[in-house]
Amino acid sequence: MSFQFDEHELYAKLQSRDPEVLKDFVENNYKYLKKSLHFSEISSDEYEDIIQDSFAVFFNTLDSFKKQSKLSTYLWGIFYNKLREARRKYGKTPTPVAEVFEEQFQEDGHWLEGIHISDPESWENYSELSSIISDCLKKLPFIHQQVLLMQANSNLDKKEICHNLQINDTNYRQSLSRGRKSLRNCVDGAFQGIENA
Amino acid sequence: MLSCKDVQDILVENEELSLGKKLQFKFHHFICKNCQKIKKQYQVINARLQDIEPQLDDNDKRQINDIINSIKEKK
Repeated sequence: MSFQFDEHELYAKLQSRDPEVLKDFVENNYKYLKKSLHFSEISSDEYEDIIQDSFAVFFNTLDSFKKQSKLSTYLWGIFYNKLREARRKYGKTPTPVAEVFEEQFQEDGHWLEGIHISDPESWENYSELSSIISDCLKKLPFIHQQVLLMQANSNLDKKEICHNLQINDTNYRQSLSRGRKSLRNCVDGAFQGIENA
Repeated sequence: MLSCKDVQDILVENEELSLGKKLQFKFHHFICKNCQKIKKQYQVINARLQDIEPQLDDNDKRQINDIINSIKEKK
């Protein structure tokens, strides 16, 4: 079940620890947080701690919440701070996907002769497509990956995504654009490998 | 005239286009097989990205219960 409260009602219900609303809020946000971590380089033991700590801080500081953002934005902000701490602590570095986009074009911006783009019709019914996309997501730089996931899956708007990831509008557009290109290139490369096998 | 690379940039950036650019883009898209394929590829990937939901296992359910138990009483 998912309740449809306005932010004011939701805040009051969470503050009074309404059992049903609490369960609904934790379950729904847990899924999103888990998804964010699932594609990152953080191990499952580490991300259990990050999620647990994020909810603990969120509820411990709820009384002093200034209501200047959505509750989910507040939780995600805490979560990304925890995630940044963990990434610094463990010295995690992303594994960037090679930027092959430029290599598809001549200097004047036209296609190189003989460039092959795999047929998207064959993608749609391919049962392993989700796992190819998941593998490719893991290879993207962290911010590109998170912008793509948040943009596709959460109900956060652009302003909230920028706030949570501590990036500006230009970085957001750049991350989204580069992330999409890299992801498509990676998936297309995987399909060309399948077609050639 | 837009180049192939310009059209690919437009496909991923969703920026507001002027009428002139829209017409150039539509024309280029109409005659460009690779552009059509790539547009479709983005559509398939976007749809799948929205569908990717992590499966919650018993460990997750236990963790959700732990979180709820630890916060259900106001401290």
